[in-house]
Amino acid sequence: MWTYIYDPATQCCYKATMLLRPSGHISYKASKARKGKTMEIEIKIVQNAEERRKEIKKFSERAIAGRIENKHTLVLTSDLFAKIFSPKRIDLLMTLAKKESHNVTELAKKLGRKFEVVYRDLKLFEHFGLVKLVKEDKFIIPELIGHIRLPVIA
Amino acid sequence: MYADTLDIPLSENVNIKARTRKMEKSSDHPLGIEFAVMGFVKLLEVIRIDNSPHQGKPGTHIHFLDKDKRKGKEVVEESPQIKNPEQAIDYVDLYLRSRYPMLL
Repeated sequence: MWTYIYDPATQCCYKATMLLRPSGHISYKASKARKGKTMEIEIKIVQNAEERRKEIKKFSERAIAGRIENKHTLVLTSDLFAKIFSPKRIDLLMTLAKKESHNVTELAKKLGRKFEVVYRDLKLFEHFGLVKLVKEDKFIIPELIGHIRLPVIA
Repeated sequence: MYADTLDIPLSENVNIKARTRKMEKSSDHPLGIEFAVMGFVKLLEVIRIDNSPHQGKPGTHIHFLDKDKRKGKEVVEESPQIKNPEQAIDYVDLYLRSRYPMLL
């Protein structure tokens, strides 16, 4: 039996399975599906160190002013963007966004790539706060954390 | 509770991650924010600067987590000159550039 549980920390509703423990307690196991407000992720490409500095200053000033909006920003120079977001990795994110594959094995099969390579890329995206890897039984379920915005020329 | 994060990769293997969270203004958090700035090398955290109280002492602390620097024990330094996330990011940036130049 499933229900939705509300997590005030992320302001998200998660689909969860209700489990009745032998002790009589009820516990919830959150599943990968969720709905509601998600985190906004923005990838900002800057041209040089000066522009990067401006972004850092903006982030710091916004925090000091108390304007914290549950936002995740990734600041990259164009050459670093090209290194991290290779065509195969972009393909991986796009496939993930379609939500057609349920676990890393299925995702790797769909992309025609090795499990190890896809898992390594997913770990990198997890580190950059773009993807969440959830362990469910013996499977690893990847999911995008939020909506990714990439305003190249703003 | 809302939290903002900023990722500033210096290369594919070196990354700076900053996180800020709104707090009640208090003697522990006079700015009303809690921040943590972390430096990662090959996905491993090597340095962290945060303004959370450490062993009962309020203020900003630098946690050095490099294995060779720690030599089995936790190295923590108080750092009252770092007052905001921007200064912490600058410190971590300099630290990573001087300590891991081969990875940049």
